[in-house]
Parts: sequence; C-alpha cells; structure tokens
Amino acid sequence: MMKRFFFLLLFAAALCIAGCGKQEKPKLVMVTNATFPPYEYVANQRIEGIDPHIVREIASRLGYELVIQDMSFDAVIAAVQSGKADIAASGLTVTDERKKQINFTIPYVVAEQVVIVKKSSPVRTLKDLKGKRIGVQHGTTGDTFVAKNICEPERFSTGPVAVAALLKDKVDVVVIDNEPAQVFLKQRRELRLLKEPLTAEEYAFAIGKHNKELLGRFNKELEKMRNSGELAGIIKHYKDLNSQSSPVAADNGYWGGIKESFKLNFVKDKRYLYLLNGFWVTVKVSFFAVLLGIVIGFGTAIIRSAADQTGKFKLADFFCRLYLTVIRGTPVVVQLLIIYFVIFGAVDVDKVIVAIIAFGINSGAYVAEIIRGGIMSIDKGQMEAARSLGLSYWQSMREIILPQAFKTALPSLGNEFIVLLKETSVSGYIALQDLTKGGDIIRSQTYDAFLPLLAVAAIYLAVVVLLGKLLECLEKRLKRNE
Amino acid sequence: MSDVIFEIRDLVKRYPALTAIDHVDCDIRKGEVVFIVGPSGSGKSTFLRCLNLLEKPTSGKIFFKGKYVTSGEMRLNALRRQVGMVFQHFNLFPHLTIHKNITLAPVRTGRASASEASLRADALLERIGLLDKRDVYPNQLSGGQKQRIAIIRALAMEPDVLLFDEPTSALDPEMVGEVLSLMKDLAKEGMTMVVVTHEIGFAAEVADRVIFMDQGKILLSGTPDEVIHAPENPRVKEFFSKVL
Repeated sequence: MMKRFFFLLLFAAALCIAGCGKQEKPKLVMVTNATFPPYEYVANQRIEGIDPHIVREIASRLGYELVIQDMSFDAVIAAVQSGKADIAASGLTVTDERKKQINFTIPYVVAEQVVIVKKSSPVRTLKDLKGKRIGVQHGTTGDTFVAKNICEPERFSTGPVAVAALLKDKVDVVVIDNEPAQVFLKQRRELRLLKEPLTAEEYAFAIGKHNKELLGRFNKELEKMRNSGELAGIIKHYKDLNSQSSPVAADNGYWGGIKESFKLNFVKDKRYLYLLNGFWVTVKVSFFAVLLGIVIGFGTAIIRSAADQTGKFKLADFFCRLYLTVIRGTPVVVQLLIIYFVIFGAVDVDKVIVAIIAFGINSGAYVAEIIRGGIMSIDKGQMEAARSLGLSYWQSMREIILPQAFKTALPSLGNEFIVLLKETSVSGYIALQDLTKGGDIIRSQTYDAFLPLLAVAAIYLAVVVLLGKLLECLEKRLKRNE
Repeated sequence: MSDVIFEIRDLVKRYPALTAIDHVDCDIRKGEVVFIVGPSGSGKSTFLRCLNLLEKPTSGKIFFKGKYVTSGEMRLNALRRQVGMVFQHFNLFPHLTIHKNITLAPVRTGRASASEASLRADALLERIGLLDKRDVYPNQLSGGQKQRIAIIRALAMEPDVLLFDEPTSALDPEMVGEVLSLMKDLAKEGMTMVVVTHEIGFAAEVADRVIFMDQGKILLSGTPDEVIHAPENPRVKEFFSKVL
C-alpha cells in the first residue's frame, strides 16, 4: 500500500554502500511501523498483529530468532535495502516503485483502500471526493493514489492521527487501508465507510535484493501456510481481536468525558508506562547529549579562538568551521537520520546511543559558538596579564579565560540546553521511544489527541522549569565571587 | 656586560598604517630606573610591550641578559617569567581572590611551591597594608588598591625587571599617590624599572634616566635634569612647557 520516495532517494546511494556489512547470525531482524492495526500495533508494551505473527512463525520454522524493530514507516524499506534489517513487514502494498528497491514475497493478503467519513458528512460516493480535504497516512499507497488521481492530500504521520484529524473536522475524509478502517469504525461510532473501495491492492513482505536465498525459503513457508489455511486463521484472529476493542468514551458530559478519557489514555493497559519510559529515554538522551555537546563545544571553541589569536592550527580551524557550517546548516532530524542510517548503517548500535551522538554533535556546534562568544567578550588585557606573568597560552586559557567565558556564556548555554531537551522529541524518527513517541503510541491506541499531547507537553514544561531553576542557582553561585 | 638587562638594537615595529617604533637603540642596566615620556602616539607603550614581546617586533634585536630573545634563543614564557609587567587597567583576574591572583603564576610556572608562594603573597600583602584583603575578589577593591595588588602580583614572580605601562593613568587623582609611593619604594630598593608615564614630576623625582620619544624615535635620553629641566631640543622643550 505504501511508498516513500523522497527519503529513499535521499538515502539510496549511501544505504547501498552501508548495507554490505551484515553479519551472519541466527537472528532475523524484522522492521515495522506498529501503528497499523490489525497488521501491527503495540499492545501491552509488545508489538503484535498479523505481520509479526506470520513472520515469527516462519522465522521459527526456518530456525531463526526473530527480532522486531519499530520505526517510522518511511524508513522500513530503506532499512531492508541497507541491510539494517532482513525483512520489512508493515502492511506493505506491492508497487512497481518499491520493486525497484527490494524484492517482495508472494502476497499474503489483498487489501483495499477505503474512504472513511463522519456520519454527518455529505460525502456519499467517490464522486463527492472532489474538492474535499482528504487525509492520508504519509507514504501510504492511499497517499500516492489520492495525489495522483484526485488532489494533494493532507499527510499525517500515522493512520490514527489522520482519523483524529477527521474527528476534529480538520479534514473531510480519510483514505486508509480497509483493515484498520474497520477497527476505527468499531471504535468510533460517529464514523462511516463509503461503500465503494477507492482502490484494491496486495500486501507482501519486503526482503533485500541481496538476500535471494532468504526470499526463496520464506516464500516456500508462506505458501505452505496459505495452502494449509493457517494464514487465513491468523488474519481472522487479529481482525476479530481488534474489532472487540471497546469504543472510546461515551458522552457523559465534559468532566465525565475527561475522567473517562484520562482512564483510557493513562490507566488502561498501564498506558502511563509509555510516558514514564519515554520520559527516562528523553532524560537519558538529553543529559548525555548535553555532556557530549559541552565537550565538543569547548574543544571547538578553544581551537577556533586559538587559531584567531595565535594564527596557528589552520587545519584544525578549517575542520571546526566545516563542522559548524554543516551542523548549523542542516536540520537536526536529517542529521539524526544520517547518523542512524548512514554512519551506523551497517552496525547494530543501541538507538539511545545513536540519539546521544546525534544530538551531542548537533548541540556541540551551538555550544561552540556560545563559548567562543564568551571567550571573545573577555577583555584582551586578561590574556596579556596572564601571559606577562609567564603562563603559557593554554594555562592562561584554562585558568583565566575559560572560567570567565563560561560564566558570561552561562545564560546562553542554559538556553541551548533547553532547546536541546525539546529537540530530542524528534527521536521518534529513528523509532526511539522517547517522551513524544510515548505520547504518540498512546494516541495511536486511543485515537484521542487531547490528553496524551497535554500530558507530554506538561512533562516537558516541568523538566524545562526545573532545569531553568538549576541554572539560576548555578548563575547565582558564580556571581557570588564578584 | 653582565649588568645589562635589556639591549635593544635597531628595533622596528610597523603596523599596516604606521610605523610605531622607528629604528630604536637603547640599553637598560641592572638597577636602573628608566622613565619613558613623550606625546601620546609616540610609541612609548608599544616600545614597552616589545620588551616582553606582547608585541612582536617587525625587525631588530632584543637581548635579555645577553640572550637573543627575538630569535627564539630564549623561550617566550621563560622571558616573561623574569620580566614583570604592570598595566594601565590593572588586569587583575576578577574570578580569583586576591591571594590566588598573586600565587597563581608562581605556582603554575613552577617558580615556587604552593606554600612558598602563599607565604610570599602574604608577606607582600602585609608590606602594602592589604593583608586583610587576601580573600576578597578584585571588584571589591578601589583602583589604587587594585594597582598595588597588580604590582605585587608581578613582584611575586621575583622578576629581574618591572615594566610599567601608564600605571596611574586610569586612577582617580586621590589614588595616584599610594601607587607612586610604592613604585618609589621599589626604585629605592634597587629594582630595575622601565616606566611609561605622564607623571613628569614623579619622573623627575625618581628616574635615573629619562627617555623622550616622539614619532617612534628616541629624541633625547639623559638625566632628568638634562631631559626635563633644560632640554636643548625645541620639540622636547615645547612638550614640557605644556605638561609642566
């Protein structure tokens, strides 16, 4: 059902190179985007659904241990193509564009793209779609189809977000795969489905072009499961399971609704754990990224200042400038994705560490300029006095200039740390479950945007306020010396 | 030769827009108190700053105690450990206590152990009557106190010569006296000093020798009487008629 051109084009070249280093292990790495019930979704802190079930079954028959990684949908094909993963199982529609990047297994299901509207909507048939605001999940085949044949759709990161937008009248209709659409309809009574499907298509798993042997063995087992009726059984099981889900919050007035909604979003299935665990990831990533940023930033600032003042270190200075230009000239999300897919493309590194490195390198560039500003603001008589006493350049820098520069730069540094903390909210792009992603997961399960977003915002705010207070105390302590 | 601290030969310092020092020759002897006077922009401060290489001369030679320093024969930091400098704006380190200001360099350069440096700092502070200020920060001191601290900070390195770059120009008039009196004491004790100043009266009183500089050149060099009171050069005469 899906495609995502732009990122693929962006990374294609690098990924091809990065993809050669996969080790031979009895592990089978499957990637998915677990926001697509009943095919894949997170329940009880685990990834479940039709796709994981089938792949797990076949993996065990082939003698592999299955490892499932959740990532953004636009990244799953790239992950297989680069060799970071062996198989993508994410409700993937078979398309010609995708066939150029990867090999598909035989299809395991035929799916339709359907149109959901609110019950009150005037949209009755496909003809009525003209001129309407159409919501889709970014990168899906629905997205491609609507863009090609109807109009520019509004693209949301996940299906549930698109449905939430529909419920809030942000869009008039949502085009989505039939299976998840059925789940949404069961859960939200105010929705209905257009009778005619928009388009029909086949789902299959994706395996890297370099991995023909796995493809053959996998297809053989899949065929067996289809012929034995097992496949149909699994699909039916998950469809039934998902349609039993309880509908969201009946209307019991505003406060009653809030209370219900609170229970649904945070208490039920221990969903608060998504926020709690996400919070720890955010804190961990931010804290170590700040440390790394300080180390890189101070180093860079010192080299740059020394090059300015002494005329030496020309080469190091050149690399520092290059670093500053590149890092400050590109978005942090792109840097994060490059570090994950390109730099660490062929090695298996904990995503928390990837995030720490990416955000640390990013922050270092800003810290460097802040510290350099601090160094330049120190009267040049200070350096002269230190040098005239026989201290070396580095001694003067360490004992005299840097302590004063740090004090001057502290307010700006504090600001940079606050920015960094909030910037880590894009960690979800590499499927790291940070605080924001935790909120996203809850939203994808409850189709409620209000409380999860509010809770996430409140937690960030609390951390920032606390950080601000700590910095204030530090500033006061340093000021006491004057 | 052993009593010559500085030998300066054909010293030139050129900036893109002007020549600050124009072929200067000069000797500074041990124990000598030399005052450099002259109109502003005459190159006095630049000359002084060349002596400890805070300014890099364009050409010419400087020997320190017989060693050719402008050639790199003597390491820069080693030279500066033996040549103290006092600045117009004091340049105390605001983030360090007075005591740390004084002991930092002797300890870090290996000139003294921490305890030796500490004792010496206290003795110097006591000498100038500021021992009670040993643990305060520079911003809590008056200008005159700061400059006296800056002087003993330089002294703590036990230098062979002290350079003063307009040490009283940034001070309120009532604070000038305390700084000059400390400098006078040092001169009496036989400290070798090179002083750039506008305090002509003080120069006349304390100097062994006065050098008059104008447009990067030494116009006149001699005893205070020869240079200040009875100069033959009309330019010099005109200058002193304005400032005295």
